[in-house]
Amino acid sequence: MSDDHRELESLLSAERARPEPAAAVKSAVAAKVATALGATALGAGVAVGVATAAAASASAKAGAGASVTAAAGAGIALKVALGVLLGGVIGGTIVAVTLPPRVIVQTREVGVEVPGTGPSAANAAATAPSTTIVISPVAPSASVAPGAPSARPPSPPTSTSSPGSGSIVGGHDVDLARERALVDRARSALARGDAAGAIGAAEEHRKAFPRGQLAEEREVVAIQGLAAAGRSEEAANRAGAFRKAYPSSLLLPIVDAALRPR
Amino acid sequence: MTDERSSPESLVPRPAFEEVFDAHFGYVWNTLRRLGVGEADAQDQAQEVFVVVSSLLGDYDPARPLRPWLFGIAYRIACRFRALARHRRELAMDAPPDAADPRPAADEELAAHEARDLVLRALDTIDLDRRAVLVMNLLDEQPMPEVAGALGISVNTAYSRLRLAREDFEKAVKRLRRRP
Repeated sequence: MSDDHRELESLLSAERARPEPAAAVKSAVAAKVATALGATALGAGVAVGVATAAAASASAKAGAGASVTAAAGAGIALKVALGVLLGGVIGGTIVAVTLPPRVIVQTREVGVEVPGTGPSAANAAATAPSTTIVISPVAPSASVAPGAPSARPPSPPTSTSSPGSGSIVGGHDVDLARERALVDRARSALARGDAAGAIGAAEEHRKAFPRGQLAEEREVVAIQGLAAAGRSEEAANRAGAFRKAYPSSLLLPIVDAALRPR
Repeated sequence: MTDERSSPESLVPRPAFEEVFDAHFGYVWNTLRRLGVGEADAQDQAQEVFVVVSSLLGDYDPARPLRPWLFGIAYRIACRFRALARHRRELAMDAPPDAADPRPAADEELAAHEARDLVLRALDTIDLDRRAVLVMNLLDEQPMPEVAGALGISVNTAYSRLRLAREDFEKAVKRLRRRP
């Protein structure tokens, strides 16, 4: 009995010492999180905290440059990616994040004027895209940055027709991968301020997988897209349906944040 | 227009999301693995955890320990993942957990590696609600009130789940030892 106990204890202690995953894995997830976060940061209020931290480290990490390989370290990758996404939110920067094994972040300034921007403290223009981050003063307006509050983009050319017949394709894994690709596409569209693109990808998902495994995520990004496009009534209706369908969803705070008036 | 989030209203400042990710990514990853998320799915599920973390961080009380709070989120993501992926899991039921570390190792390392492999396989046989208690208490070494709080159950329930989980775990280890 006591031998058993000792054996179990040694198993548990081996498991307690389980090593952390490789840095490349961390970088890859950092990139995925940053892609999704660009979306959630729109109005979720976390933008400030992230922006502050990212900006604080921006000058120090300026050498990170526009291209980050996975091996460069997850911390840096996340900082750059988050910095770029926030830059995207704030200044209309265009972001492309590709998934592992290499993480590539590209940016292009589009020059959107943001009121109250103030001195761009972390500006070290020559090097990293993350250096274009501007901190908290602009956070509230950042939530509407993709289209200025006054100059709202026209309604996206996306039909919101009834769901088509779900296409049934072979194995679950194939379906899940396709679902994931659509949801990721919607999220990254939202992250770069392309609300119409986000709504379009979400709609595509809804038609192909009305009750898909990622239906919950898709609804969230659709609501965010509608809200970002200024289609508040549709966003609110859809959010109401979401609350009924997923009353205990972990993603509810994101839905609430998307609906908050900006 | 104003955001007081960063002002020090409490003694412990709220950590920035990026710091949380950087310091606790490995913990979240390993937690997901222990809660039955396979290596192949762990990236996607870790992403989901941190998406939720970013949206809930404003509600996190920095005076409380962070890991139990993260565990609660990882647990709920894992529950959902397992419910959704049930069909796939049934197909893959007999497959042993993938080797996390294929590098050749010294004997000692190898033994530890095998031990961890066995632990994951044994854990995989335990109901998730019980397993979560065991993982939090015996592996993360969190006190039971913390465990109960993170999982939203009473302390009594937590203790009874721990007892059952331990029994399940011991049985599974014996069985797997006999027939690896």
